[in-house]
Amino acid sequence: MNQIDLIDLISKFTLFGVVKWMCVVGLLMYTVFAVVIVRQVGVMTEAVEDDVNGIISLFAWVHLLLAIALVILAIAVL
Amino acid sequence: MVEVYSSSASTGSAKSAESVSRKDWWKKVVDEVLEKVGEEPRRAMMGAFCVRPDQKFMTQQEDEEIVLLLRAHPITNIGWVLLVILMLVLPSVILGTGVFAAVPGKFILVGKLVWYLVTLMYAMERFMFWYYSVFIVTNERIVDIDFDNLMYRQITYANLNHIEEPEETTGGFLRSMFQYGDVSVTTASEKPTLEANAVPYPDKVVDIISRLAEELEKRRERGE
Repeated sequence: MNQIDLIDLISKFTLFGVVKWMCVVGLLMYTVFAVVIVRQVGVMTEAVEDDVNGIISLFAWVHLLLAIALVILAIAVL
Repeated sequence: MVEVYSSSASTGSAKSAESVSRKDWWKKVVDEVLEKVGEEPRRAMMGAFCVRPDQKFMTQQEDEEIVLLLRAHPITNIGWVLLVILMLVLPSVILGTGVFAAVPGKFILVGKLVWYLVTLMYAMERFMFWYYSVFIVTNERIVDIDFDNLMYRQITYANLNHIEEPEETTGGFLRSMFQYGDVSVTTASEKPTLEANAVPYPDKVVDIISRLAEELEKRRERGE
């Protein structure tokens, strides 16, 4: 790769293109965090038996699904 | 051989009978203590003060019954609830000023969705910390379950016959107004104090713990 090719490649990068992939990486990290939350909700709900446990678990799973949906949305839309 | 079996069977039934009588005795004691304190099975303060709830907790033993299940008073959540409301309103306010006028609409859309997702997560996390950090008084012991962050759970136990005099601390405008305070129970173990922070009706909590411990002590003195 000579110097002209490199300049050509760099010129293809746009500010919003860089922002897009930063957003995607950030959202992927957030999705990993959402998985941790699902696991942690399991640990919390086993501490005390309660009627709310089912709703909390459902919320954690919905949160994880929304995080995954946002990653897909960010790749598709941005 | 048959004798051995019949002997072990009779020992088993004796143990079972003893367990039933112990359970009956405790039920009677808890009934008396609650009556003296003027309490009956109920769930008050949005689940922050539950008397004899029909619930179970991890490591609960067979003949163990929850007498009190306590959480911090719901008013202690006011700070994060207000913050969540602010976080929900903030995107509209900031976008209304036109600061992000040069940013493409699709970035604004994804940014708003991420913001609302983080807000949902924050609200859920704070609610869980409040709801699952409980202080439980059973007929045999005190169990303190604390969650400091999402990765860390701490469970502390103290037998009722190992505790010293429990203490309550109240004071300040909000605490007096909403009748909540701290309860601390000193034990002789390495971790000397169990604390229930900002729980409703701390006077009643201390009263119930003292009476239960006293009944247990009387039983021990009688050699039962």
